[in-house]
Amino acid sequence: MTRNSRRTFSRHAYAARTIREISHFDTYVNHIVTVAWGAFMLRFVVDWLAGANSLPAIDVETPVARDPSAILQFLKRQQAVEEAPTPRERGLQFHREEFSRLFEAVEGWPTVEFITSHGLPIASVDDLPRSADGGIDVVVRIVTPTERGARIVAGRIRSMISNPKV
Amino acid sequence: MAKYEIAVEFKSNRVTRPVLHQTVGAAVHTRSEIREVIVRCISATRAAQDAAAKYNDDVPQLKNRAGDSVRVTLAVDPQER
Repeated sequence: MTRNSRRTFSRHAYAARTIREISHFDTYVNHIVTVAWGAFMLRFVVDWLAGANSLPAIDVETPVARDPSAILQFLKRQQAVEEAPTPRERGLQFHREEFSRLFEAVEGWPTVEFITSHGLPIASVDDLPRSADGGIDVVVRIVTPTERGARIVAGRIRSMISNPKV
Repeated sequence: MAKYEIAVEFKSNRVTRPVLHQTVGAAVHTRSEIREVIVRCISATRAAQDAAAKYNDDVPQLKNRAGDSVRVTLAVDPQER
């Protein structure tokens, strides 16, 4: 009985120890697998980083428009900007155009004469003052026998300047 | 003989209210017998157009040194108006 009980006990103890060992073995296997996997990944990362400089560059297609007509248009625009007249040149050109139109319109009118703000006569566009004039480009002097005639001529000149026929 | 003087100023840029006042003042100051000021421009601000209208509408009109009233016209380019 004692033997049996011992056997039984020892069998139980053996089973318990075996279970314990199996469970420990499983833990060990888990540890080993984890360490091995970690080492493998570390090795992989180290190899990858070490070979990053030596690897050939990857060609990436950037979405850049390489239309030759667009480049030509850009160059043409740049050239137009460079050749565009300055504000002063534009102002002088505007003055010349407007005065030419005015002079041509009243060319045959004997009652109208053009003078500068200081009283000098202006016969053509070239006589116009080109310096700062203080706000008057030209003075139109109308000399008529009657006041009514002067007003009529002034009204015509006004409408001529205000509504130029292009 | 009746005399009538018109001061004409051409502006190739945008005319503002101070520019209009300056031009009118210069014309009245420079020419004592000026009767009319015409400012021809490409474009003008609303304030400048109102000021030009006010010159002609107000009771104490602008007068030259001879005592005659001065008419102010702001002629904006019809294409740009």
